[in-house]
Amino acid sequence: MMRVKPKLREDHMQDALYIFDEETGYIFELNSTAALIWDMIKEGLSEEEIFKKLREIFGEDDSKIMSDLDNFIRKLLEYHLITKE
Amino acid sequence: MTRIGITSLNSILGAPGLAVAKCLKMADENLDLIGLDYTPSSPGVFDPIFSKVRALPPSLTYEYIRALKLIAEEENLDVLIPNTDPEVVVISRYLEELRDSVKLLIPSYSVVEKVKDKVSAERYMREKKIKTPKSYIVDLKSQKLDIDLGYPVLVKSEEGVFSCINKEELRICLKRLRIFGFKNALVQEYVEGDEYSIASVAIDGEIRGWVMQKKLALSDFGSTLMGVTVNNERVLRIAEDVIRGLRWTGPLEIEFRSAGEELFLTDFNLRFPAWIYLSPFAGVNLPYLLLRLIYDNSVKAAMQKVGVIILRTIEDKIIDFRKLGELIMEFSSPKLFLSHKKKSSS
Repeated sequence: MMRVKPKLREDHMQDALYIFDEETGYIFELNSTAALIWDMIKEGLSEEEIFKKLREIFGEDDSKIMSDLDNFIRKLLEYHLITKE
Repeated sequence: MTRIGITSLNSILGAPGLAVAKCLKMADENLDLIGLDYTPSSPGVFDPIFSKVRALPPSLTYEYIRALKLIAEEENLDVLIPNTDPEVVVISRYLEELRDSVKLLIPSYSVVEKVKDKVSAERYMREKKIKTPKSYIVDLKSQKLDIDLGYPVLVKSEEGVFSCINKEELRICLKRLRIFGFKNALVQEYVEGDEYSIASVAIDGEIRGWVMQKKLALSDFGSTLMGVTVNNERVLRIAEDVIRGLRWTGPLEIEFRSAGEELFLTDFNLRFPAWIYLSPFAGVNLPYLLLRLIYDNSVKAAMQKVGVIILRTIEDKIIDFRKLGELIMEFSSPKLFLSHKKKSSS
């Protein structure tokens, strides 16, 4: 189960999503694909559910989707934007 | 109309006086602001935000207090806002005497002396077990330099903060301070990490309003070039504890540096910070809060807005020749205060 850190502010600008961490002052830019995954995390979807949805949407090979999703979630954890239980 | 004296207008050097004036005018354009400075080369003295500018003596001795009293009386000042640490220290010593002439919101000397300079502040924080970067208090008369911090280190004194990248630079820096007459200096480990600072106004140890920023870009001297308001609860908690412990009254800026999970208190400034112009845009106009508190000490500010960004710039100005002439007249007479003193005492 992934949980989004509280005190984050989101702003959409053109195709990008900007996330401002009110506690640390860091600003993150997410492109449209990253923003899509971010929304799924906020909806409470598991990694497996997100993977299935991405496969449906993009139809790319499983290993590429899995690798991108893994990397993205690792980055979110690294920047303390999400926690994992 | 409330008349307010505001000191230290050299915005180029990071003095907050002009920014304090802008915050006050933003809240109430009817306030009458009198600028006070040591030199006509301070950019703020030319700013039309001040209805008048008066010269202060450069030495922070009793003559400075006498000059302030005289100016307060001549200009019918209601309130005085000092904006440098040394000014706050000397004013706090003669607070009762000055209060006969003008209203102020600063602590008594018994409070100020605990954090009046970098060395005193470090001693106070050690005593109170507040986490600071590893530091040495160096006796500048001693030739010994047994410091085991690695490099770079920061040398902190009333002369400013200097970064030294090796032992040779450190020796030269300390020698320079010794020549300038300083007795000791603080040599501090440089902690890599995010920098935060909180500006507040307090009454008797209770914070009545605060604005907190993360520094996004710094000048060579460590002052904010760009910052964004944030709400870091650990920073706020430590600041509240420190201000409560000191029973601080008036403006205070406390600076922090975070390294991983660790949070170090790195500096105190006994006044509003250079970035105070951010405060009204964050919804907490701290200079105006100070003014309101002087007349009603029950006032409390709202919560700040986060995500507000300040970018500090240098503004070029063209100066009218006559205005410069007037100011040179005002600043050129070192005996100004002595002669006025004789007149008022006769």
